[in-house]
Amino acid sequence: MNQQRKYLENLNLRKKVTLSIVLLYIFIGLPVWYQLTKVDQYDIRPLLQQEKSSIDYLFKDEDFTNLSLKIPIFLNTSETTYKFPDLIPSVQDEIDTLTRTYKEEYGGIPMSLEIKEMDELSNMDENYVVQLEHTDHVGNSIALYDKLELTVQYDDKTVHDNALPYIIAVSIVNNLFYKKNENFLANELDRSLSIMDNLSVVEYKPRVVLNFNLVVDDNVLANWDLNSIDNTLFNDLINPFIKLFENIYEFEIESNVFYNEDLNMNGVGHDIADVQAKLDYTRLNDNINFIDRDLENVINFAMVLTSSEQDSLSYNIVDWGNIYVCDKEMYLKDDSIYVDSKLIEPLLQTYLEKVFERLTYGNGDLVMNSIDLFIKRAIISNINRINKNIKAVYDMVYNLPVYTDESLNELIPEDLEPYVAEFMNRVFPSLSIPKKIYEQLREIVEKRDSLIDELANGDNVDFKRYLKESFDIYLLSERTFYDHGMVMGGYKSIKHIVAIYLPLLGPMCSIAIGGFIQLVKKPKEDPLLKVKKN
Amino acid sequence: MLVLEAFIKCIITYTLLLPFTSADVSTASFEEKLNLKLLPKDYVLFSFNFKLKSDNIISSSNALFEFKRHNGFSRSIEPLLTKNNVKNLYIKFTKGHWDSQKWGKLPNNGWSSGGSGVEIWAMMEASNKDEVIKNWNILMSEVSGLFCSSVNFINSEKITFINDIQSYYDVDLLDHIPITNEDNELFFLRGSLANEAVCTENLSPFLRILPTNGKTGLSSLINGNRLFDSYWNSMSIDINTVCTDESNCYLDTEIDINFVVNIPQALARKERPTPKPVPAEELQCDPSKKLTDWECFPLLSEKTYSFLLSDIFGTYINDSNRFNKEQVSSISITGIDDEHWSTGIKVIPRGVEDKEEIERLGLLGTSNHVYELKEHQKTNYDIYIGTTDNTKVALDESEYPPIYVTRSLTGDSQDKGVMRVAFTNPSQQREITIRYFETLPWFIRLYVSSLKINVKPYKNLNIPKFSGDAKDVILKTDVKPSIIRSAPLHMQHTLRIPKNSVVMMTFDFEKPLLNYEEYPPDSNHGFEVEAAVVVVIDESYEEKALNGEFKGHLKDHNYIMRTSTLLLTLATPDFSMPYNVITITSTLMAFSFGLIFNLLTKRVVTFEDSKKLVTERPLVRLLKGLKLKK
Repeated sequence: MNQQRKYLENLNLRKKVTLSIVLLYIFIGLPVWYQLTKVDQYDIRPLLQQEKSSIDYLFKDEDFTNLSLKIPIFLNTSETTYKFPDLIPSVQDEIDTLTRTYKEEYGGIPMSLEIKEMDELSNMDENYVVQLEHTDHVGNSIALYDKLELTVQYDDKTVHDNALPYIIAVSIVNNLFYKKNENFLANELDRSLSIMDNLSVVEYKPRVVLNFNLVVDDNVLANWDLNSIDNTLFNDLINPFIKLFENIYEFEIESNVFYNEDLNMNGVGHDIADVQAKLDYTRLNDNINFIDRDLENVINFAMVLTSSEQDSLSYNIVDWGNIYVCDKEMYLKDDSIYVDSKLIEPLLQTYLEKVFERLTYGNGDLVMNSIDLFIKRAIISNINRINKNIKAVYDMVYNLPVYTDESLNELIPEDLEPYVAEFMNRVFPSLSIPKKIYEQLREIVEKRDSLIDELANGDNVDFKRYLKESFDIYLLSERTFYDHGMVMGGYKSIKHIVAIYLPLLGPMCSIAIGGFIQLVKKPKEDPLLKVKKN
Repeated sequence: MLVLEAFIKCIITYTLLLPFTSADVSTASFEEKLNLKLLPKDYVLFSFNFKLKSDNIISSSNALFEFKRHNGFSRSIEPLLTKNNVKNLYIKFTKGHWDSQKWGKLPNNGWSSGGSGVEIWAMMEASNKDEVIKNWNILMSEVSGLFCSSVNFINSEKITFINDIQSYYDVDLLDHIPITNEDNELFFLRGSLANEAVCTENLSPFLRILPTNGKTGLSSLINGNRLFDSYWNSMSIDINTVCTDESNCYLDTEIDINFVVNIPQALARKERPTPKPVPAEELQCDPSKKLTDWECFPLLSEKTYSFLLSDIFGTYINDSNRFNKEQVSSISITGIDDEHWSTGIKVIPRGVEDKEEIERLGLLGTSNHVYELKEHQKTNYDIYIGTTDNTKVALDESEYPPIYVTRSLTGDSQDKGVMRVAFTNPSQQREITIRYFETLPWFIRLYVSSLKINVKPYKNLNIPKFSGDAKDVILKTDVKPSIIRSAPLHMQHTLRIPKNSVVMMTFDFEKPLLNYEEYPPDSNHGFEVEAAVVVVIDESYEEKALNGEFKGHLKDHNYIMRTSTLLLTLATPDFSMPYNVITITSTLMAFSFGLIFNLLTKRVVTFEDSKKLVTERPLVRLLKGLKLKK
């Protein structure tokens, strides 16, 4: 009996020891292991789910259209022959009906055009202004390049028929926001929303470098009038041009002279195909390394003076700039070359036309209107690009590692692979991302939402400011996507950590737990006593 | 489009009425020179020197835009410097061995060449060291792209901050450096990539910086085949920002390309492009050596020969520098005497291409062997050099280097080694003061305290030997210990080397085992350790420079040289090690844990009892039953 008691005491002690080892393993070992191997884990899916609009659009290759723009239009009713006390609400009603109809018919983003009475405080250079003119006919005209002004002409009959609000509304909507789609002339009524045209090609970059290069295929000293900013070329051509883009782009101008270089244009023939085949403009891209691609547009102007069969030949390279190949003999005087303003001017005009087209991503229809439409397109494009980056981060975290984990999946027998993979995905659903990325992503989503709110509901509609803001958010989203920690795999799959530690944990785990189970199963009666009794 | 055209037409009309105004005169300039120095034993040193000055780099800006101009000056240089707040930048590519015993001092007192590989010095403005390192890293990646070199590997693990700046930089130029922010400081940094391969793709960017584009002027001679088929070559670019006032700053740039060629070999390359033995009838044997019907030691070169530069370079000089009317291109030949050597220039008018006709053209000579290329018409040039006795080339006393330095690693242990540096002052008249600037990678764990120094006579001459304490030759020591995986060990010793003496310094160091991923792909090749810099100081000049009494240029007073690079072999691991370690550790852990676990939880019984217990187990019973049945 005494021996049986001793046995039980011993068995209990052994059970306690094993239990304490198992408890130590569970309560200290596992947390320590977890703490040591843990990486920041943030699930970014709820972040995307929180959005007001559904996240579905992120996963479709479509432009983001869940955005409404609130655009103020100032109507000058003070300088009219008649007084119209209720003209503004009437025009507003007509415009609302028209935009709604057009939206249903042609699609695009919803716009709320808000008609306001013009006052002295409003900035008339930056906003749409509608002037009324009493004449003997009905019609409208648009200001050219200095302001966003629409003049609506009306006659007495219009007033008598109470058709003025409708005429004003149609003039605004048709001239400023909807236009006939030139590609489908067959249908006269076919219109599209100007703002949405080719949205994906618009890539706003705030800095513009106009690079003027004089390329001389000779060993003589050369100079030109673009070397000085106090020059007629600047005063009359370049400065007014840059003024058009004030607060939209920041300009930098370079004037470079290259010697002993011909861009392989020496003896080029009349045929433009010959230029196309021979041209090697990469030789001018000396500082290509220093261009910050996210921030800068570089548009080149290259005047190549070489032995050429004709006086001048121009060639435009999309996204690069213009090249003008000229015969150097025309400019060579007394062992030096000088190109003066008269000779540069015509070339500069064609160049600026191309620059204008490139900067507004348009066809150069109307100067101020093109710029204004570009601003709105660029804002929407920036929001689209932000969305794409959010999606890209999401993909990187949730989709890409699936492929990287394939190496681990290879260890699993092929038949079991789908089940094991599903099990692993269920047990370890979220992959880890660095805290910094998570916070930046949250900031991007918040800022983007508040920008969308302001565009739809804000009172002080300063689109140039919104353009800058949207671009800043876009830059942040780019930084987030290309973050060093993300790119270099700072995020790690939990499966990977488990795989690394499994060889170590497996045997110890099985010994400790197996030993504990075996002890629990031990009979209460001492087997030795039993044997001895037998 | 119509509106834009109308807008432009208005402007044209207005413009045409305005009086014509001419552009500002560009302040950029360009100079080029070539010096040929005949060295003993038929070697010749070609030294090309190009000086460029940029236009004003302070952008003229109005309210609308910023304006920059570059007339003939490479536009890639200016953003490289301004973007990263770099004021001065010196880049040196060097390859080969400069035999100072034979050839004397390095060209330009050593200031235009670096240690074998790539060496970069930069003076940068920043608020603190972290900022300067950040900018340095960006600068390196851009330089790496511009000069097609791997200098982006010169990171914080390799850079050193220079303290005694007056030994390496003309301190009076500091006043001309513009400081963007008054709270900032200037940092002088140096980094090097030992034994980096230098080849044609590194030369092309140098030529592209020149307005002559390597096509005209003296640069038309330079080509990769010739330059890199030399015994020693060096290409360097020194860019200094100089300001005359707040709104006028320019980049003062100097490019030096030096290389040493063996004349007979270069000429033979032209005659026999593929190596063939000299025909027996042309073979000249050295009578001072063994000479039989079957054995002949060929004479290294004939005593008398003449050649044209076109024979060596395979091309004529294509015209001259026409960008600077005051400083025309010039070629000078030095190291020769008039008695045994003659030189001349051949002016080849454009259009003359027939070889015989060119050969018939006459030579023009000058007494000082300096030739200016200043023909009004575009012309080709060639230079003639002839000798009646090629041994009559001797170095002046002043052309011998003031110091010889050897540096080596000794010791055959896998974990310890010794670094040995010997400084030789061959002068029998005067002692010299030097600054020994050493940068060692963090994985050479050098014990600075293990320094042993001794002084021995260089030659046994009848002059008094050094009799003082050897440790007294060290005047000053600055040490910045290495930080593992972050910063190199930097030490600078100022030494006074007695005349006719060899000062030997030895340091012990430890070779650690690196982390698995720190070994390069070819880890058994060893680790290249960069060259140390040795500056022979003109003390009186330095004192005056520091007191503000300037006299001359630093480069005329201090002689700078580099030791050879070193190859350090570290114990390299078996690269499957980590996986083995994981497996073995896991097994051992499981074994030991299992044993301890069993000891703690199993019951201890006697052997006899355990036997009885075992017989009671079901499996044993079953086996017994089976046996009985049989």
